[in-house]
Amino acid sequence: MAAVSMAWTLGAAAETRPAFDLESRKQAQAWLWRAPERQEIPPVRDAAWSGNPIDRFLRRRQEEAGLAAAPAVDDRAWLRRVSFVLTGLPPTRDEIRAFVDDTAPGARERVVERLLASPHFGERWARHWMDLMRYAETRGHESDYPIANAWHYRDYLVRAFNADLPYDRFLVEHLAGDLLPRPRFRPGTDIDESVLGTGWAFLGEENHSPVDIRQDECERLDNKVDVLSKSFLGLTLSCARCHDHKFDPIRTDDYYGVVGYFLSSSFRQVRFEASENNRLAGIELATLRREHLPQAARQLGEALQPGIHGLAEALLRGTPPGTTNRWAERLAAAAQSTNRAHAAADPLRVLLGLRDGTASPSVPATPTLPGPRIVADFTREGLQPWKADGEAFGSGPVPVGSLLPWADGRGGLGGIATHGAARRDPFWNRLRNAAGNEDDSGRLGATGRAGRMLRTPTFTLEGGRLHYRIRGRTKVYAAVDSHIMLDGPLHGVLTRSYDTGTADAPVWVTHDLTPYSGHRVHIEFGPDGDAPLEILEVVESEATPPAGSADPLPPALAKARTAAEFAKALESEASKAARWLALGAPLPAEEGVATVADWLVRNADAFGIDPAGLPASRSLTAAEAALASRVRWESRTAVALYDGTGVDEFVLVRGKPSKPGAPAPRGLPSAFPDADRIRPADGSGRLELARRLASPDSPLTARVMVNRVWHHVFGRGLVPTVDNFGALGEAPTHPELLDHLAYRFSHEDAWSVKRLLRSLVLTRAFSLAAGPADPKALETDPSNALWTRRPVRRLEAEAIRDSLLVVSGRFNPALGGPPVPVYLDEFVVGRGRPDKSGPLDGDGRRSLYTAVRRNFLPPTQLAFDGPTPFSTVGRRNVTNVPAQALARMNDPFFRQQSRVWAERLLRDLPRADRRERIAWLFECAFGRLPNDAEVAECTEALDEFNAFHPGETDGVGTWADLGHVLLNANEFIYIP
Amino acid sequence: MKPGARNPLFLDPRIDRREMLRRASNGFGSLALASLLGGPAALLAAPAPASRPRPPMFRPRAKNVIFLFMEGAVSQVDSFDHKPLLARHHGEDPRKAIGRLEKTQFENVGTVMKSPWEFSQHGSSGLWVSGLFPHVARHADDLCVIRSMTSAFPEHTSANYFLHSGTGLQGRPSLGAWVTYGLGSPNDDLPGYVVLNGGQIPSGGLDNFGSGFLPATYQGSLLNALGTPLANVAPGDNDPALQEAKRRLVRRLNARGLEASGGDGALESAIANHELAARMQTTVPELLEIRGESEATRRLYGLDAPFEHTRTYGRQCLLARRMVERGVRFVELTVPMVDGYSRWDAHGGLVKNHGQNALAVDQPIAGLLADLKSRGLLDETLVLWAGEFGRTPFAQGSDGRDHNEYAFTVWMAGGGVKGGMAYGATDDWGYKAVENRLEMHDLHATVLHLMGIDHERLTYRFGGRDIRLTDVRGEVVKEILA
Repeated sequence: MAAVSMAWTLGAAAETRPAFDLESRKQAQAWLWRAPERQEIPPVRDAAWSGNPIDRFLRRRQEEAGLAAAPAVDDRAWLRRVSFVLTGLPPTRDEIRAFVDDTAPGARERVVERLLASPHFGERWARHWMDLMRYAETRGHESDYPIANAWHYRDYLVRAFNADLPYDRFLVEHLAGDLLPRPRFRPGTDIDESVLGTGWAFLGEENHSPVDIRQDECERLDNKVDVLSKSFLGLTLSCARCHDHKFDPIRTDDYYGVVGYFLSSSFRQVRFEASENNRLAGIELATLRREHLPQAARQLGEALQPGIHGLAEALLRGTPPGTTNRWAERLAAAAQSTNRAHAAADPLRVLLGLRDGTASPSVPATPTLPGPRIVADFTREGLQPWKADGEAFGSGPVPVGSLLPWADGRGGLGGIATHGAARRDPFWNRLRNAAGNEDDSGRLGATGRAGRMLRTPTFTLEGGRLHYRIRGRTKVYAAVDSHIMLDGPLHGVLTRSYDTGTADAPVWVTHDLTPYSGHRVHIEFGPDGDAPLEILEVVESEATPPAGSADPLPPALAKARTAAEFAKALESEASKAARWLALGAPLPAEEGVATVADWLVRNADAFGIDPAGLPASRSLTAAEAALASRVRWESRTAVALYDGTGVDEFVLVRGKPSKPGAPAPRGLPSAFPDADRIRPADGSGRLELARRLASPDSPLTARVMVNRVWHHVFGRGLVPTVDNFGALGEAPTHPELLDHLAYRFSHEDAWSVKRLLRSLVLTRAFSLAAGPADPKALETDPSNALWTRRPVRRLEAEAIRDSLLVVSGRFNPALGGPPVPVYLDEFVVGRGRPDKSGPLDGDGRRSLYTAVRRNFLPPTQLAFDGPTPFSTVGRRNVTNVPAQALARMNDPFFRQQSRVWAERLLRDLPRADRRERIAWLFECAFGRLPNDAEVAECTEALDEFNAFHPGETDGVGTWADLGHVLLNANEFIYIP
Repeated sequence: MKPGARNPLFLDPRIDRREMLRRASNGFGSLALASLLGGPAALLAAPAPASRPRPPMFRPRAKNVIFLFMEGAVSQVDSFDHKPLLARHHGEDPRKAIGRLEKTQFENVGTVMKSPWEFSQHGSSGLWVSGLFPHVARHADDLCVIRSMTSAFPEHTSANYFLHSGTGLQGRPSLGAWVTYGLGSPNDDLPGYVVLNGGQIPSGGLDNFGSGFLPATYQGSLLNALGTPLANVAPGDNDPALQEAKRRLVRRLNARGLEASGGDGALESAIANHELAARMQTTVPELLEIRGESEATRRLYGLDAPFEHTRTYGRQCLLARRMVERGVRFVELTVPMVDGYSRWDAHGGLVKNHGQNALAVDQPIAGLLADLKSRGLLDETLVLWAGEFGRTPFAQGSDGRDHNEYAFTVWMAGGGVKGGMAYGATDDWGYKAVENRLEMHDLHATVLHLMGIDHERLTYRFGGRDIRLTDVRGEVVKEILA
């Protein structure tokens, strides 16, 4: 694009902005909005130059312009070039030897296969991708809090590129890896790989205490949309946040339509290593329970029936119905209870109350709040979408009358649900985080909740007073405006702990979120230790709920006015309940049958029956124990998306959250062909979005990706503005070639990045030298738009550091794992500085494993244009400043590695002469042998260096000096 | 001569080394060149920086520029553009008082807001300056205040790029890069374009100081005003002779590499940077060592001020003078972290924001002007004070001002501009420039003119076109030339 006219265009646009017209905007870049099509390979005059189709496209244009291409580089230069492009590492001397000695046809192809198969390939391309995802392991802002376990996303990328995960699948996993009906497992395991792809969404900055929490949310959402749209679509969707896009066919509602996908999803730490195992175990557990609990109920009901006769007398007179006087004990225990008022759960207390006149059975009715807004009702099934992470809350609400296992984890039948509720299943209490798993920053406790969290739909707070009807203990997180970084002076109220103590029945507790009236929220209920938890309802109401509640008693019991009446009625109701149990089915919800049946189950031992000893309970216990031995209790967690209920954002007028306009339904931006709004009944709809974008006919997806790969291989994209294919980006230099590559990638090569790379690096264009170039090309094509030559390229910051390690021999090839702490020097300062410095040489690990702490990035990496992770950076700066030379001269790491390298030299070549050693150093550092003049110059320098190391001649200090010189030579970091 | 990059400023008939390398890179006679210069050894003997001084096109009025970048946008109606009408209509609905309003960034339009600061006239020129800048006001007779500046972008990043590079886009050469490209830099030991970082990296990042498609040598080098200026500036070799011996060999190896590449621009810049870096090991500490400055000078710049940011900016201004003394061509100062990340961007709390920012910069700037003058440097140094746009004469919310690209004030001093003058005018509200309205390219053209450069002839061949800082626009503002 002509730079000259841009300022004028912008100025004019700012003065008079024409009305937005989608179709004319699309027409302005019509090629972009049509799916790539199969391209004819253009004929060339000089067919002998190259038969490669990609070369033909390039050659054709060169011929049209009457330009000659530069000659090719030699084998060694080509090897160094291709090694850096594919793995980011220099070739070792052995690799150079092998290639030089391989004189059979196809030697280059064999090198490419070796490099593509190298585990270091994935590291190189993962790092490229991390630039797009503004990858970091902390949240920046004031205190730079860690993003716990963020590195699993980085290792996911390494594995994905190494496995050549098809790019369409890669895209789907990024947007909806948590929603796939069949996730991808790490080979040979049931570890969920797909879900890890969603972690990118939470690698941005988070403010720990935003004053305007909603504005802060808008910034975070904008960043997600920016990263998503630039990375996958090459579109600057964020430019449409305040107004229709100034240049591209993107309307404001398109922007907010994409925002909705993220509003409909929330943050979590996912038990990716255990989730599939636990899911299957959960299904098995439910099956076991479904098979065994009814049998146990039947057996218990039958066993109880004979003993119930005489219960009233036993209770009234204190004589045992069986052989031992258990009822006296029970009554004595009930007498100790201070909880008389809400005695329904224990008929014995009612009996005592009637006897001493302190209470009557007329228990309060199930309390209701005046005019409440019901947010979630778990007392019955199907009232709202079931959103539970992990198996701890089962697969849905447990209705009244259901047969329950023991709450303390004993096997077998342990009770009857006396009210409907979402119940925490004690079977899962053994879930643990693996050692070394990082805890979440702040008070959110996402790692504690992982795999045992229940959430409500998203809703908008009205008054802000929320009431939860629960029993047990829970840690609650109110996700107001999706704010997760809870560690500042503000917003502490978003997390609360509740403990209903010894209450027999569920009680109301209040979570006052009045300050957030008008804000969106969903509520997450998490565990508190191993305590049981039942969640019945979440309502919003100005009124304060009544203090108590009770489970219903059968009318006959409620009507009793004397202890004798009550005891008789109890005997008769117990008999009825036992008959119900003997049917081996869930009990009816009506008439308090479940309340009495539950009492019976829990007091079976008073009838001389050990419920755990029932045959069905015993076999269930055994089966659960067997299952438990197969459950993966311990796992690590990773940052991931969690799908919530569908929420559409409003079009915010001029981007201001205070000015919501019309709702913007979630969907593809309307410029996309067939951009019908895609809306699922339940959930965010990310999977549908992802599938649309990953279609071979999606106009942008393949083009943007092949262009990124081209950019990394050739140093400049066919569309140079790799993150912006829109009107403000630059036009493709070779549109037909771009489409040829995109079509082949998406239609013929199954979205294989490795196949694409193989085809690019084996072109003649890839092997061209920088010069001597055609003089005419320098004049008419100074920016090398026609690729008649390949200018020298500077290595990226990571490749420079990694090269240093390979050259010196310090390189530690280990793959993956927790980040290596940053080496802290005096330039790495500020609030939130890590406590401990990492080693100067980073343990010899590749640079992508160095901790990426937003506020504490390694200065040398920054000096060589390592990106600041704020948003998508598809094309790094390549600056050339004295700071880089200073680093190579004086940075302790460069100096240290020079010495390590010299030590290795003397170890490996103990008896070699200077010439051999100089050659060895050159081959390590530059991939080539020195010429005679260079040997002479180095020899002369060695004599000079010796003078500075008294007491030794050609010792390690001298060789380290020479090594340091080679590391300072341009050729070390500028690759011809 | 039609090389890839063409610099018409090479009026010097002597053969320019850089130009020769370019010819070599064109493939005509690189061998001949090598022999002409006596082979690689000739290159080794004189590793001249790529930015060696070049003569201007005509008599320059200034040799150096000190650009005081007031990032975040200073309010013109609270500083140099006195608008009494605002007081009379204070608190009124601006749509009624002023009339139709342009959209603003935040669209949170409050009432007409008078300046919280009193304006008064200063010097024999009687230039109006508000109480925000009591120290600078004493130099009223040196200031050439332009009240009719405009921008084309209402948001920071684009406007910063526009102010710096003449386009609202990332990746174009900055003014400092253009000037250094045009004139080179007489000091071989320091970069020609230095950005003295007070703490605030502007919106748009380091690209504001980039060289774009110009050779990388011309990009601004960032030096921290506080703490260690630059990583690795302390030599790692204890013995300077050892370092020199190493450098000799590096030089030889690099010369061969450069030759083999046919004179690659990046390699050439890297060579120049290597030499420069070596020299910077001594020049930077020496430059930053201000203990030798007299107590009076230190006080003049506010280095003893109670407000820490005054001390920071005072140090920046003093260092700017020291750089100019050493021939650094273009010095740019970023502002200290006075109000967090807000810079001058007073969307709310104008009094505190502008008050504190002015407190930080006022005395140091006045000190700089006085010091330059007393040393006879002001005549050859152009001091440019500018933000990226202005602010609205009506409030944003209750006590802030929103962005306003329709009018703002910049001022220049020294280097060939008339002092004690005000050029151009805004409407009665200070809302829009109405008289002698200037665009960014006019400002750039004028700055280049003062440096002895014809903005229409300072071009760089890129993408098949000769590209200018001023695009196809820009007129030198003759009226302000001394």
